[in-house]
Amino acid sequence: MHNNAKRRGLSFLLILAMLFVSVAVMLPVATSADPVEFADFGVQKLAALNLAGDEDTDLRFVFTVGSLDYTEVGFVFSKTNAAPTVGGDACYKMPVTVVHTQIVADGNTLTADPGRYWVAVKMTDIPHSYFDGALYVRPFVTDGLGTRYADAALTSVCDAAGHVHTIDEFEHERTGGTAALDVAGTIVGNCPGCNLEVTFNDVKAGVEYQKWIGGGGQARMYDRRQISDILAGGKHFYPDASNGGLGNDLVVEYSILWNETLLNLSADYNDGARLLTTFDTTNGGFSGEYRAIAYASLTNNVKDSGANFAGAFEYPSGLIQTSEPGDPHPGMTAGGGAYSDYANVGGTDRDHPEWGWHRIGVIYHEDVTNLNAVKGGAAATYKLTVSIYIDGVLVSILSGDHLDRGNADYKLFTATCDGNGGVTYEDIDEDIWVFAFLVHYVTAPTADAWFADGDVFVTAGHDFVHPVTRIANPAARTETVGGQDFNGAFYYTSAGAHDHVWGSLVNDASHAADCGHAATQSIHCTICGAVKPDSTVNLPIDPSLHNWGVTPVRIQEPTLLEDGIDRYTCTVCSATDDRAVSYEHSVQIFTTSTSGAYSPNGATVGSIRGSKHFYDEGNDLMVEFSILWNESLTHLRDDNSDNYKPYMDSRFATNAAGTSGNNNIVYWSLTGNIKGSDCKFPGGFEWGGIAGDPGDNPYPRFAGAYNDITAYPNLGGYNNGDGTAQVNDLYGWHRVSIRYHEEVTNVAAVKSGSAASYLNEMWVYIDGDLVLHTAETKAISKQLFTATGGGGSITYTENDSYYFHGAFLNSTRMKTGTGYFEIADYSATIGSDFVQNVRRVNNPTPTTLEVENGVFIPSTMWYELDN
Amino acid sequence: MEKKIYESAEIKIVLLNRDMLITSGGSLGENEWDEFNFNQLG
Ligand SMILES: [Zn+2]
Ligand SMILES: [Zn+2]
Ligand SMILES: [Zn+2]
Ligand SMILES: [Zn+2]
Repeated sequence: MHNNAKRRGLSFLLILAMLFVSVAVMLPVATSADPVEFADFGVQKLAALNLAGDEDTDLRFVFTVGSLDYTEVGFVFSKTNAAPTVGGDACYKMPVTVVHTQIVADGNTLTADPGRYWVAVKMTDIPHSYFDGALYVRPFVTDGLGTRYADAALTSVCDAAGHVHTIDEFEHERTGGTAALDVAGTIVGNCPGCNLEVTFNDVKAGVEYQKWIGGGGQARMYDRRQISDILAGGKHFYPDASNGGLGNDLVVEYSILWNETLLNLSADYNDGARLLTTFDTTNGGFSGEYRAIAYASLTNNVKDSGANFAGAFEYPSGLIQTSEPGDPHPGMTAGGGAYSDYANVGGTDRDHPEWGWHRIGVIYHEDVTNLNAVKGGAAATYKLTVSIYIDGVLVSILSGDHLDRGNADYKLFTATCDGNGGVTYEDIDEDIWVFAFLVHYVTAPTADAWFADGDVFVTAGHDFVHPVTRIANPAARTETVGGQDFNGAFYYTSAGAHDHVWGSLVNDASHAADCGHAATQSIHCTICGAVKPDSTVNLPIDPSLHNWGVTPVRIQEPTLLEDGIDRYTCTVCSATDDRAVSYEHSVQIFTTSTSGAYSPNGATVGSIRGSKHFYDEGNDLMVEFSILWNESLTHLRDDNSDNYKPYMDSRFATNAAGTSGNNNIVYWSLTGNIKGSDCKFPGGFEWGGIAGDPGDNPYPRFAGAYNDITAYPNLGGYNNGDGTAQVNDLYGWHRVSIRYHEEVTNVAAVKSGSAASYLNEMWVYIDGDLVLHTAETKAISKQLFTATGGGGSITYTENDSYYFHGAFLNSTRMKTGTGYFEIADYSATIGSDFVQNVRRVNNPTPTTLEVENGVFIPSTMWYELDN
Repeated sequence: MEKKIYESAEIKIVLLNRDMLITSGGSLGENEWDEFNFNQLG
């Protein structure tokens, strides 16, 4: 039964998208005939449910019982009681006495498990307004023992639909809440998915932005409301009992991220770099009969505008009738000179703009100035007043008797005589749009510009939804808008009245004082960011505090003998700091199963020679590297088969890997007794690569080099293959230097048309001592260059595309044990000098290198620089 | 009239009236569900 119920519940979930966990409650009722009284408890929405559009809907509720031995089964519901019971407070019982082996639920046919029966009811006509309302639901069974319940579940139509509320953080139509841009709180607004008003807690208001592309244009930015929305809930602008006879003002408030990119906007008045609070008959802004009540300039020196600098507010020229339009407009009644001398959002000091978040408030107030006369039948006269706030500070009051221009007169209300000694008021047409702000068509900014706003409200009342207090010296803050970072300091707080809570001393700017910047530190209020009086500490430029970049430039590579140099550069003052960087070992480990391969710095002949020529006298191929000779290498496989090649070589090849068309110029053995090789002891060098003439052993041209092991301190110093120990057991670092020379020996003949003959000559040095010198007039198959001629001239063709690998190890592996192998300080250059001019050290201080945990190999330096 | 008796060590219940027990109605069609109006929740 238990297993059946489980499986049943699962399939049911799949079919009906059940939201409740299917429960199989084993109640401690030993006498019940039903060991699993509740199972398959679920709710089902209508498949066709449209959360946003349906006026009402139904929900089905089901569970199964495993017996018919009940007098009644069913559900109890409550909107408010979290644990509904039969007869409980605010509970509704929906009983059934007929249960079913099979049900058809919104088109799905569901068969109960054998021995179980569906208890099925349908709640109808749940209104849209309650789609997110709580429904506590509880299955019950009643028999002679009494009534028992499954655990109550909480659902709603939204839940049953699997709907998660969202709110567009840029949704300016949100209805309220306390969340602001600067203070987390609640946001109340309409969820677009269900059209219900929902509340989100602990969130901040969102930022909306518009980016104008430099050189482009014709994009607008606005936030608009219709009068019908502003007056929703039976409000009126005109005085009546609903507002205590005081009437209501039109209250507009929004935040703007004032930033330097706005100065990229065109200064031409007609290019729209103005920020307007305006009315319009259409939602297009400026497309119907528009009338602005406040202007602010977004950029400097707006042409034809009284707003001469960024952030300045201007009397909306021509909109409030005055007799003396001028500049500055005399219609500004407060403070005289208000427009040019107040804290504009761009900054009171125009050389030091206060980039960051500022809050603009506009209150549009209306009075009837001749009310008694109106009662007597006279036409009303009006006084319209616009009060403009920045960061909570009243910066401008504009007033006049009516909005001018055109046929639209956007008074908040009108007053006429009612014919009985009273007044009839009428609100502004509810279809009119109010643009909290509108940036008209902006054209051709000189560079990209961002406009960011947030926290917008347009209401009917007397107070701002988010009244704010100015902060003179706010904490530094970065706002990222559209991928761009801006100074996002809040020059206001909406935290409301509070006792400041002082934090610790912090940097005011994003950086502390350093080699290029003085700085200040101060103590800020942790609630609103205000600076504690007298807390500011001035930090002068400190030449010792540099900002070193994280990525140094490698000035000199480290070698086994000398540290390298990494140069760090101060990002502020460009001072440099050279730091030693030591050589990093990279030891390869071979095993009996792991082949090792090594091919460092394979480079083309062309890249090695650069602009020089190998056919010029004195320019040879100079190859050099260091090898960590150690006893473990003598345990490499010593059979020179295709699979195991325990020798290294210097070779030309036609591919970067060094494996195709290769032609060796010298071999050297890593182990002893290489089968088929003349390198009979580790470290022995053998001329390689001569085409043909392989027969002599030893090669006569070796001049005794290879078999006189006492005369030539080879790298291995191990044995000569017959068990005789070599005298030079010189494990440690050795320096191999190879000079490879090529020349045409019959230049005159070539110039007369003969084929060229070549001399290849090679010198091999170990630790600065010459150990092998060969010369061969028979060409190897890969050459640095070839020569052709005739008619008195000779032409050299350099084989620039050949790759040269000076220290090439093909696949090899250990015959026994583990091998350690490292090549260091490799270079292949053109010229006549080695990069490292070294000399032998006869009695070096023994050193070791740890290559694995606890495994040390001798790393004694057998050479030193010979400078 | 049918009687059914369940027993346990602790309690003995006699369901006297079989007619009052729930019954199986077989299959329930789409439009045959017992309905109640949301407004009945008060
Ligand atoms: Zn079980
Ligand atoms: Zn929703
Ligand atoms: Zn504070
Ligand atoms: Zn510096």
